[in-house]
Amino acid sequence: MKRPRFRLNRISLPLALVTFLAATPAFPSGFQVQTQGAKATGMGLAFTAVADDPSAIFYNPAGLGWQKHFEAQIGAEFLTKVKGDFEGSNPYPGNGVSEKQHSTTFVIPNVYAVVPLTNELNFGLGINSPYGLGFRWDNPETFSGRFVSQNAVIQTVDLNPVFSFQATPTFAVAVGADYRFSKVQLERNNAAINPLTNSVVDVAHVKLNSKIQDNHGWGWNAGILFKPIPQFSVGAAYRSRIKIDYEGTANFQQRLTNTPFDALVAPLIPQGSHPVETAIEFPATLNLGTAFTFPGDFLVSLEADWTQWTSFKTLDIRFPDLTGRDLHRDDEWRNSWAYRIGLQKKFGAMAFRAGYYRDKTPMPTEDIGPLLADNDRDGYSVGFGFGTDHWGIDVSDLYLKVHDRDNRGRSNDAFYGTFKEAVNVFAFSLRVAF
Amino acid sequence: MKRSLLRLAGIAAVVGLWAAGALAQAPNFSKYVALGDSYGAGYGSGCLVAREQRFSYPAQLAKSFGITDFQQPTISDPGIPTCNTITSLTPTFGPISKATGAPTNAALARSYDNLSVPGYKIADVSDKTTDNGGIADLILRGRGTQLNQALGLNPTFITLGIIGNDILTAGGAGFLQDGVTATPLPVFTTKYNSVAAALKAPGRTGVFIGTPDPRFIPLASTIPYYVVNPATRQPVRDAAGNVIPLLGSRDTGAAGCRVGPAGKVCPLPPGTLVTLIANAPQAALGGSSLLGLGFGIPCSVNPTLPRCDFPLPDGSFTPPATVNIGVVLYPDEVLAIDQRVRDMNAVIKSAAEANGFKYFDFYALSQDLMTNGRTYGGIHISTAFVTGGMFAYGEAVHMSPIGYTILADEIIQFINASYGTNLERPNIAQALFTPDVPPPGTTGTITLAASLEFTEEMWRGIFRSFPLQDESFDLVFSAEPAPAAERAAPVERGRVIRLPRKRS
Repeated sequence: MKRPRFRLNRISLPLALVTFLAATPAFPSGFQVQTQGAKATGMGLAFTAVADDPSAIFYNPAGLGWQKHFEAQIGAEFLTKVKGDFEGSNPYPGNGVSEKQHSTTFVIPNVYAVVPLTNELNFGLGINSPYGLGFRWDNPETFSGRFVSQNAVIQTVDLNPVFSFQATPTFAVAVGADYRFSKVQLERNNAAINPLTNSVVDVAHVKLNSKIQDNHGWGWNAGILFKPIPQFSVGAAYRSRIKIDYEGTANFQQRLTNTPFDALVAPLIPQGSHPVETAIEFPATLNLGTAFTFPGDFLVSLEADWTQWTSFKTLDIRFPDLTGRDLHRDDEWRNSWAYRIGLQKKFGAMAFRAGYYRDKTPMPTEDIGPLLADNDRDGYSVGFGFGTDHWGIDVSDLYLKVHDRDNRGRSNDAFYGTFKEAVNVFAFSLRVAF
Repeated sequence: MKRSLLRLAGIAAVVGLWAAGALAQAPNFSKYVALGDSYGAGYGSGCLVAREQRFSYPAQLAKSFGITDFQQPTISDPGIPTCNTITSLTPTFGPISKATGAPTNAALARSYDNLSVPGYKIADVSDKTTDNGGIADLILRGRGTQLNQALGLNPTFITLGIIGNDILTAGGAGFLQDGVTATPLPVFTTKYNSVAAALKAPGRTGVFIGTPDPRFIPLASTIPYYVVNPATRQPVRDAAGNVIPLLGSRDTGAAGCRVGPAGKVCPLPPGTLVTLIANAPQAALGGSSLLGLGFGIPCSVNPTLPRCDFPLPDGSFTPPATVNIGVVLYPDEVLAIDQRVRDMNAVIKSAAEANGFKYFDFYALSQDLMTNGRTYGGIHISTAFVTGGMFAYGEAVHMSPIGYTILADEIIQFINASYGTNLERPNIAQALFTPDVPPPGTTGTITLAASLEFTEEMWRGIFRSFPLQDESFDLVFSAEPAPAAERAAPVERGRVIRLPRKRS
């Protein structure tokens, strides 16, 4: 059997990165984004033991072992923050204070390609954005948390080449490399006491920014999938930590009070652009899943995902040419688990899907604040697929209800209140096979 | 069966007793009365004024208790005495007006719920009925002592906040002497126990507030013991990179003593506190400050200063009634004042526990605030003079609305922890973002002499709010030691000012 040759078109890296950076994820799981394929999204992301389309490169690359044709898949997730509210409480910012996160729809594209090299050996390449954060507040110049954060953005683009090897008809393994590009952007105002009024005024705006092409890191991933009988499978997938050292620029701009205080403050603000450094260690993940196919083409997939968020202990921001400006933030995140169930019922070429998951937050209550407010969440999904051996289309919708989180009395930022969030994710994928 | 019933009855009795005990301890916040001094009164910016009184810790506690009829002796702008303000960022300070405010709640037909009187010592709480037309009379209104009026309101919850007038005057005067700048400990103990016992009543709970670390107040903590360049505000260093100590008159055994124009001068040892009055322009010095003239500054640093190599004055008492104000507190004096504060706090704690009240450790809080300040939503508040936010305008002793809100917040958290209550904490954002300025039209045109840090008038204000043990004492302000060559000229010694004698 003549196998199709894989030929990667001349896609320029910058263009690809720009395409992916058009998307800023709107919700974090921590700041992990697991919705990287419409089929998996429709099944509540319980896909490690299924892994039967090209998005297996992300969910469990060992699944490529059963994919014997050249296949390509493109897709996108449209993430809309349907709720991003904050209700303040005493002592700060005070009872009755209401704030809103900026609401918009973000698009996260993904591309996967699978190339059989031999009957047992496959090559796959995935490009996606498995981590991201977009935590931006409306009315940033009056937002009560503006001295902690007005806007926090983390963007990533992963290039993920993998090789899978089907050792036996029932067992496959895979290993791959994970090359991650990333950028970070943080904005906030600085406060000072104006001695002329003995009250707080905004004295500066600080914007930290890094460029995507300058900041990157390596990791690896691996997977196994065992299908002792056609009706049962069990799989596991692992991704390593990836540490990225960021270099960027910090811009300081004085905010004027139009009082003599401005002249006193001016020499204390390092006006203009200055180098800034930080680092983020993205966590390792381990996904464990099993799937059963019952008579009538009814598939049930169960999964438990572990994320080693303890890698995110601190956030240090350094200003090499400025004295006394370095920032240190203790985060002390916990490792977290997510538990998922996915269902699929096929009717010929059509498939109907549903899923649910409970994702435990890694963030201690003390850490939630204007920079990021996460909590346990429940995800409810439905999906539909239609396909043949040569092409397929999948669509799905995931509603993610983040549990309200009250940090009264327990906030490292001393920014107290209740954070309320909900996100909707619409996903589609198009697949072709030759 | 009989045994089971007996056992059940026993359990019921135990549970009943436990419940009764718990109920006896549960605070009843329905009637709250505050006894205390200037901190309780919400005194700041050198005055009592309603826009600051509303942030007093008693007012904020009452709000947290859900009390809507908490009455304070409110004063209109520009305050009584006339409030100070900052007039330039040099900084300079001065009164906001040539007028004074007026009581706005004097017609209240009962005693105020906040009976705190600026300047009160523990003895005043139970003994003083008038100050002959002073600020105490505005609050007490001839209705009896603070204690008697408080008891007459039949409070279910009280705070007793006599936090410093019995000792912190020693910091302002620059020396510790019982009967002059401090209340003797046995007298303090007797009086405190007496007041505490009088406050004890069935069903009444409350909090006694201790005294802060004497280094907490900017009066004592702003000027370092070494020479600072007034232009850059950075330490002046010698060739080896070491700071250069200021000079005092006492030989503490440290190297570097020498004979200066006014006698022996010695470097101040680390740990010495120099009070802000060293930087205040004084009439006795022709409008200059001690440091501005060179007192305490080695001539090797700046030989052009007319009084370089002169010592900074140390405080002393000249019987029968002259208090020579000093600006230096040597480490042993700091230690002695600190020990006295600790001893007084032990008395307060013991009195609280013996009479069914709780002791709030302001000493520990003050140390925490000195070290860490407080941060709210990225806004940092510190104890730094002028710029820190915790202390009032150019105030070296009293807190600002922000500071009093922080204090109220800490007391409320303490009550919650002590009594198992869930009182709501105060809204610090209101204090942070509300400009503490008089309403338009209140201020007149004020001409002020420039000052580096502090003014003589503000210093006098401290002794209005922290009076000495006997208000009839003469306060002698910066008795400048005459240079050796000028000692024959008595006019130098004559350049002192004496505050008018007051009789209580």
